[in-house]
Amino acid sequence: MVRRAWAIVGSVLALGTCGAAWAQTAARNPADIVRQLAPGFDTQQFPPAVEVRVGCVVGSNAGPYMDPQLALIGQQLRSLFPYRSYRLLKEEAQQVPWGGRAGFELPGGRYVLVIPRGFREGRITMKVMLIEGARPLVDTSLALRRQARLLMAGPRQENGVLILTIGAEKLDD
Amino acid sequence: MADVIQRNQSACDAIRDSLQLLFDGELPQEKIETVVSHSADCERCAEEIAALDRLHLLIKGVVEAHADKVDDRALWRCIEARLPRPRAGWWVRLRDGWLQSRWEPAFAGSLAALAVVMLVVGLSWRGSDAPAPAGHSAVQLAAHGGGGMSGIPAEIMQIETDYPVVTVLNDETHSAAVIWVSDEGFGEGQW
Repeated sequence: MVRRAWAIVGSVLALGTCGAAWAQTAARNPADIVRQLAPGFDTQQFPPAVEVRVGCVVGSNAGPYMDPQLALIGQQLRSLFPYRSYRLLKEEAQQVPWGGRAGFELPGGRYVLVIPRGFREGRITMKVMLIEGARPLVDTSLALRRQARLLMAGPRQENGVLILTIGAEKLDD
Repeated sequence: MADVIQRNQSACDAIRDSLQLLFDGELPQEKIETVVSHSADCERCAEEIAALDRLHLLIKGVVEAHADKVDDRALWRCIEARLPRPRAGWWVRLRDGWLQSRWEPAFAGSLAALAVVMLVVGLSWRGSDAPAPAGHSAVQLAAHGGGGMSGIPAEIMQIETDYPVVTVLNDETHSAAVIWVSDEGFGEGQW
């Protein structure tokens, strides 16, 4: 009798914690993940002040190819990375206030979050997070010069490597 | 005459010593032939062999008739209890003790629940907003100020990543800063 009771208690506990673990790790709305990882204020209260632009490029050695949409940065990509092929998967821009969250869904279940924090000595300080599932793959804080670009590369993507191009500009400039 | 009688007596004694081995099936072939040829000439040994043969068949029949009724498991337990126990490794003793435990199902369930709880706690801890522990993947770079670094595209203040290899490059020519993360490491001579 006691044995059976212990077995039932153990099973209920195991099921309950399995459910909790699943809830923690299962794919969730990226907005929920963002709120957990980078709590901020309601962006609708403040006018947009920064335009954040994110491009998603896949570099590979499949064959010599440069996506026509990458004409402006094609030479830069060739000089910085060792791949023969560069293909633009997605490009998107968002306008957010200081401290607001600009989130971009990426192919392959990833998500990039850019939080512009302020403007200092001609640079936009920001936090950039590359997220996969419920955890950040890369979390960095930087100060980006005007008209400069951050390239974040390395995670595997399809048959190549993911290269993110991240830029930010003040809207009142 | 006395010598012949004595030699025959010695041969019969030798044959008699071999009879038990004969019925146990352990007598070599050449000696079996010796016993058979002797018994053909010696009436006394032949009668003794026949008597032993009848006794053997009788015993065999009785044993086979009762063999199935014998509880050899109980017999083995009694024997095993008297045998010296071999010294098993600590892991074997632990495993055997657990398998024989009356609380085995409850313990198994409790251990599984505990393992899952620890997993959830670990995942929650990792995903919290608390500052990440400074491991090999956390790189904190000096925040350069002043004119010396004003030309670089980006000042990287901090990077945290689970990737084992992180490479940071500021390319002033193209006004770009590169953060490269890798599981394998970047190829030589690439930059």
